[in-house]
Amino acid sequence: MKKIILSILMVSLLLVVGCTEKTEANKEVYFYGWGGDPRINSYLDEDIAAVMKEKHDLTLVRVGMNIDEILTKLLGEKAVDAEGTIDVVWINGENFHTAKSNDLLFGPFLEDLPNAQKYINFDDPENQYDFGYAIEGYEAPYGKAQLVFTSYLETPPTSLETLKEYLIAHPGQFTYPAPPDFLGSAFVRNIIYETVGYEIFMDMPADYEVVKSALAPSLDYLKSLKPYMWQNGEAYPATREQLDTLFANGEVFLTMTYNPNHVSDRIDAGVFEPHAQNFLLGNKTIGNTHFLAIPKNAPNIEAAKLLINELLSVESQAKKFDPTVWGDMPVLDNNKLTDEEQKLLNVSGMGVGTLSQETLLNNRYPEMPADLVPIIEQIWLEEIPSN
Amino acid sequence: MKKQTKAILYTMPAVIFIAGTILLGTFLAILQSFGYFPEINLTKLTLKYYQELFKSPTLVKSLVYSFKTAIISTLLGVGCGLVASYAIVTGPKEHKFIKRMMALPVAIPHIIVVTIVFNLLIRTGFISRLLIGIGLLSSFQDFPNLLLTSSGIGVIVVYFWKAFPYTMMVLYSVLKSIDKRYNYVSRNLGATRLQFFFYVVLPLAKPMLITSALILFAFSFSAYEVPYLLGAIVPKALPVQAYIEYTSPILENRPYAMAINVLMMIITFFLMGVYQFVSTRVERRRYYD
Amino acid sequence: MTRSLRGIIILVSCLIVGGPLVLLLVLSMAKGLAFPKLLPSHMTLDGYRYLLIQYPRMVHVIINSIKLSTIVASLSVLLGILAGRGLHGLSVRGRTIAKAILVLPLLIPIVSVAMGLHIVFIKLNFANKMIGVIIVQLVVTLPYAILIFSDLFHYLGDKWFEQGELYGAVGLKKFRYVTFPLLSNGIISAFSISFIISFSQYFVTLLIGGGRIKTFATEMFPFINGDPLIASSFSMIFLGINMLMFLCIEVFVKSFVKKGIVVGEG
Repeated sequence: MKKIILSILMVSLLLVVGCTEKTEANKEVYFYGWGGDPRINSYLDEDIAAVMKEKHDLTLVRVGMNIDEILTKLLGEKAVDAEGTIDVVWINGENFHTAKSNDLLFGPFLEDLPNAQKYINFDDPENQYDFGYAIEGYEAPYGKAQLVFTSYLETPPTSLETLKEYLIAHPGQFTYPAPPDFLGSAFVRNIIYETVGYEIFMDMPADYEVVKSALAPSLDYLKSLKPYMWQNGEAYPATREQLDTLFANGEVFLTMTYNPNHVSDRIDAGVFEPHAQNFLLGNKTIGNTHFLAIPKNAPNIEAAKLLINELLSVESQAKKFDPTVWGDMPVLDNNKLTDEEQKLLNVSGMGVGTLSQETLLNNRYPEMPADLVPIIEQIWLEEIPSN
Repeated sequence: MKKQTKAILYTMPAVIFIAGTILLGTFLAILQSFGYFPEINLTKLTLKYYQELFKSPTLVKSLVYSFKTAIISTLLGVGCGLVASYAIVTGPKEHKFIKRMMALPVAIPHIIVVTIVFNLLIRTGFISRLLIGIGLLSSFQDFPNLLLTSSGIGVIVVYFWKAFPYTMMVLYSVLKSIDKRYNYVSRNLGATRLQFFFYVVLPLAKPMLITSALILFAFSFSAYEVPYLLGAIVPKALPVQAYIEYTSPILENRPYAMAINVLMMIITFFLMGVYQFVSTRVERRRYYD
Repeated sequence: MTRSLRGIIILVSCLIVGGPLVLLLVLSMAKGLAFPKLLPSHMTLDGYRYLLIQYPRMVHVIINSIKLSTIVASLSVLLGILAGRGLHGLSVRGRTIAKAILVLPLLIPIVSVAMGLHIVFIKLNFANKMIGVIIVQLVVTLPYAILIFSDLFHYLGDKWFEQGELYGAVGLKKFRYVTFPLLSNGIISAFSISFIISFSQYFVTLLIGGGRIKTFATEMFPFINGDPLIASSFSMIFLGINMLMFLCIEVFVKSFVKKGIVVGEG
């Protein structure tokens, strides 16, 4: 009997707690995106949040959520026409295609933003196409990333041939994260570009057989590396972080990253030795822009636009570019900036052990259409790791 | 009869609650595996995802890999847990500190254990460094490659490290309450310590042991994080394949992921069915005691 | 079992369990721990500092998470006692059916279920709110509590309760001097395991809570595959909170058990 009374008490407690919600709706703006890097988080949590509070009296709430989880959420909400909880989404390539083609995004909005009009070069292909898919103003550029390699060598191998020679001379010291890890996938695409060029992929049909025959030389190259690779090329690290650990311990001779300033951060944190240096493997490496979008069911679209606009300001882009903050390259068009603004943007420059921004931007491959990527990942999986 | 209705009344809230949520969620998941995914305008029911699954050349290898890692880690963990908790319980000291320490791994999420095991077992990891430090190993090249291989060692170690203390915690109270009374009786009747263990302790601990083993197995068979981070690329464990398909930007792959999930559910249910069959026979015997 | 064998087994067990825990502690404060070092070149509290001071409102998140998981664990214990008692009184066939349903969450990965439930919850207006998260976490924790109490009631049988009644303990007295003390260890175990399972729920909390309900788990998990310093600092705090709660519930429950009978270990 007493148990029943207790149960009723507990259920009422439950209902009371569950139903008291704060309603401060129009005072907050919600930013959802990958939250795995403390520096990227701090940039938003501290620097940008302060600006938003001061200038617009908006509280920036950052939620760490992977893009696939975000898509799941948006899809579910779309199915029942529900209002969402996300104002701004930090989105990357292939997922933009998915989001836009499933009608999950609000737009076009990019040209409405004052800072976009002021500083963004709308004719730059990297601002027109995201992984080969037309943006049409549905997302705003946020920062530029580029694949770079890091090693402790003074003269690292910089071409596919010299890499192979190095591996033969130093077997067992090279590996890369297995696709479909984001970075591993980029590395494989880079090798593909270096062996067969990139132009043919820009309008290639997303057909398994077509892609596979185009990749034949690249697969041959990767297979030829296997006997000299870490664990004979039959086992691969699952994440970039694992590769970093192997590198820091000297088990492999290089690591790779999409953030060119990652190396200076790692040196600073005492994880990499001070003489770690970035280099490019091959003629060029893949670069891409990452973006911000607004879900169609965002609770506060105006606030979302304000936030994105703020993130496109010179001050915010400069802060973001600072290697002690994040080190992510800016998306603003130098031609549209005044001399002072240019100075402000580049005041911190690149960090320790990195390559200059010029070197990077002048040696950049574009990303290929999004629908080819999973096919390439599948082909890699079938052809490379097993005997 | 009145006792029965009272009993039914007591169990109803929990049963309805769980049945409602789980069955609903599972039903929807199963629907999706048959291709019903209205969010991306797929509304026709189809068997094609299952067909693709069963035609997959890697299915059997993946199944075997998942099964192998789950069963070895569970059996080892439960077996060692049994032996270790028996050792502690039958000892003279109370070892309260050990009891508390055994509770700690339960509170550590699996992916954190993965980080620890990764840092321990790579060739430049801490075990290797220790061996080099005390001179048993001359260089890290001599240390074997244990992780990310088709042996599944990394995965087994992680699940073992969770299963072992969990079993100890679960068995401790059971063993403690057995010990005193039956021990004296059996010793009186002339049983050796080994006989006591096998004919008294083990049967009494069995229900708890098997329940724990089943829970541990079900989890390690169907969870993706550990094999994703420490398991082989080829063959991929089943739940890893499901996870990759599910998180692919190609949403049309999600029903395929659901088909894999449903397959794993069926396998786990089958094993549970076996357990039910065995345990009802045991219960009937007990009921008539 | 001989003394030395017992000693070896206990020692090895402690090493197996304790070793990795020590490593976790070291990793959470290590700077410069590359091969072949066994000890870090510097100690640093940067990881903890980021979490507790720099991270927005982390203390607030921790307190809310403890509140949330306490509610879930309490409900779990309550419903678990009810169901455990009920299972005990059912016929063998009834017990089989009921148990089969009740342990379903242990066999079905909650991730698949949560995705199906997500839409239902949106329709019921439970999504993005505490109540939705409480419900979905309760689904995961309840089977453990039920298993604990069902085994406990089965083990106890009716004799203690009948004996107590013979001595005049009925109603409230029965609960205070017989039922509660007998169940106390079960309550401690069930609460502890429910708490920790609820506290570790990342995906379901994130999906059903929509990112609005921030728990320690939702804030911690994005870092787990990243920088080991942050990941291990987070883990140590996670561990600490859980251990503290285990201690609290034990003290709390035991404080009520003064004059009653207690079964199981002390």
